[in-house]
Amino acid sequence: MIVRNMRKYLLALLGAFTLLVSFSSCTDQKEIDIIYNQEATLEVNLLNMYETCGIDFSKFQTQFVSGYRPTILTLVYDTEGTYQYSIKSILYNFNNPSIPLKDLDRKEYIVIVVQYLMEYDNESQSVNDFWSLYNVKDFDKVSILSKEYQIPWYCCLGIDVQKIDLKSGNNFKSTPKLAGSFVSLDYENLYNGGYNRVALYFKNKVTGLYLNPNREGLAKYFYDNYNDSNTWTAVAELERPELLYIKGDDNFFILESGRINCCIGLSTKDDGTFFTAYPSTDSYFDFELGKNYTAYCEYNGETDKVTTYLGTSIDFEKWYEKFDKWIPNTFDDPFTKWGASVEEVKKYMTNKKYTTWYDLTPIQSIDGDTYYYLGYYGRFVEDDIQYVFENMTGNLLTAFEIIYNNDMSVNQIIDHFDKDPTYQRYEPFEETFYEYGCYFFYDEFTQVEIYPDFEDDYGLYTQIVYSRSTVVEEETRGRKQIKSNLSFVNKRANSNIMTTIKDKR
Amino acid sequence: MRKKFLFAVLGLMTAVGLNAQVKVDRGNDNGQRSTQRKSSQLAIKYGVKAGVNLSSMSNGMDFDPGFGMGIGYRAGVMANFHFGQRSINSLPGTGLFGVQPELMYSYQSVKSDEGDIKMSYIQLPIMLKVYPTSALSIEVGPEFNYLISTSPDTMVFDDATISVGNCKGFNIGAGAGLAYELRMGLVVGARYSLGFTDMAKNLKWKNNGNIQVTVGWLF
Repeated sequence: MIVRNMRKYLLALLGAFTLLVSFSSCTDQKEIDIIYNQEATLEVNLLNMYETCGIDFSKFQTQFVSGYRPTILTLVYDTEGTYQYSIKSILYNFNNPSIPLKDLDRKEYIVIVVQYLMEYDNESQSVNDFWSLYNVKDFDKVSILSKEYQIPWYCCLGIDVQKIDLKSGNNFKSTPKLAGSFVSLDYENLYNGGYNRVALYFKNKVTGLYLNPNREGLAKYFYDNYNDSNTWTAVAELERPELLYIKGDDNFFILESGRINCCIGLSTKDDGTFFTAYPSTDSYFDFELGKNYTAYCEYNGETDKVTTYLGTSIDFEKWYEKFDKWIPNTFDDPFTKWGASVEEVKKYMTNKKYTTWYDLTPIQSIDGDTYYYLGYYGRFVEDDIQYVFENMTGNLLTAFEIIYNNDMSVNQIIDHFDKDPTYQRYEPFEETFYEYGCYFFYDEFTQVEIYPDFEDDYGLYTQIVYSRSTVVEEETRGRKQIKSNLSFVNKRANSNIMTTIKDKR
Repeated sequence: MRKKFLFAVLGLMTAVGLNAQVKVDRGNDNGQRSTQRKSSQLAIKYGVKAGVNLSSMSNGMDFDPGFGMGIGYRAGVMANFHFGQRSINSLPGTGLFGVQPELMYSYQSVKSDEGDIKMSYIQLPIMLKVYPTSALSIEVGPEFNYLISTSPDTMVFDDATISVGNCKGFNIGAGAGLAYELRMGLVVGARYSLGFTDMAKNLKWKNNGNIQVTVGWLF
């Protein structure tokens, strides 16, 4: 009897224990605030994404000094994808920063690090962010979008996604990698083809990236206009109001990778938003992340043909060595009928298909006299041709041309005048001209002064100053006294025009 | 959910009480106390008890709070249901088994590196009792506890700052111990209880080392 009861009670006890254990997980407890005092840190390698792509960091430092700040966005999610917080760090140098990760439990997290440069105005302390985060709280849809259609190379984006386990340590390292590639858009002689815009066009332009590392292929891109058959977007573009220069180049950053429907497009001013595609709108190219590409375009004035090239920059250099490009290798003479009216000069330049850089503009010289300037874009190696008038209706005093050394050296310019039977070379130079390194030519009507080694942001350039000849006039009086226009050049150098010249390329 | 469960337990006690309407002695007092005998083999007594808690906690977090045993107190009421007869001639309620639900207020203190953690519970232990002798019992059973409050509000350890004051709620444990019931009604007991539930969902502290020494009186 007792044994039977014992069994019964033991069974009841076992049942009760089972019930108890099953209940032990059924509690109404909630999470409480636990703040870990010992924060974790994430050290970010700022240089990796640039150095791996061969970017000259000294060039980068120049950009930095002129108003850019390295910026780090750190997004923290748990392993379920639940958003924890984000940190935006605007840095003051390129030393690897340690981003503090606070208030995290001892468990695994997913950390997304986004790196780029932010424009920063030192004076006003205002910022211009090239990138914007969207859907930060949704791990699947969190994305970063560019605010610009053409992304300057220095606004390139680096991304690193990693899991960190706070059970195994507090100090973590992040090395963002380039999230796209670079394209250098180069052109030559497009001025002479009448073009005012050249661009690398992509079909289905990517405007942003999803940051979720589980997204692959096309799913990682954010498109504005996917499958819109009429839409082509310039990812790299060089444009001028009237005509492009003889040559030009700029570097851009693109997010896209993979096989892309793309082409190089050329437009004249009359084309508006339309362009002529090279090789065609059906051409494709494979872009790889972290590489440097060159999109090149050349117009041959002799054959009236356009040649384009799209490939890695390394391949381009090999191709370009063998490329027989058209070299105008000359510069035009300005209008030199001294004392002419403004209308006469304009008529002459229009007939020769020059386009206006700036219309008649009064400039006050340092001695208080007011002169009137008229500017035109160059057509060959000359960067521009400018005229100076005594008054707003005319009396042409001087014309001058700017030629960058890259386009034509000083010796080539001197050769040009030496071979021109119109001009005589004046030798020996007077000390005044030696002092300024000036070379002098003259004829009955015009004297030419060549001043080398001026410098601006785009390199060394030469000024050729044309003015009324004083040599013959003085010779007739029995003494050779050359009156230089150098003082005039100096006046010009102190004018606002000089600033405009520096900014115009 | 919590309310439903408590009502169910109280309902069980009420049902047992309704079936047991006699009050008998323990069968070892030679009839010196008044007894009332009916056909039931169940004897019920009600009582009060109070005592001290020696409490500690186990730590499942990555940092060490330096827990140590602290002293608290407990007091409450109990009902003793003693089943069966020890022999055919024994009085009812002198058998081998019994059940003792209790309703206790328990104040527990646990020492830590940063001071004492003080917890106030309402506890409902339901002890199954085995009587090797008619006076001595071995008791084992579940404890249903509700943590009313915890203090201080915040504790700052070297590694973490914890809002301890937010720890509240229902939890479950189990207890085992010995009790000795004197003829006069005095009951002395010692029990060790073990908590199964963490202090909070993300705070892996179990209040699971509680030694209870109590004195009570069964009427």
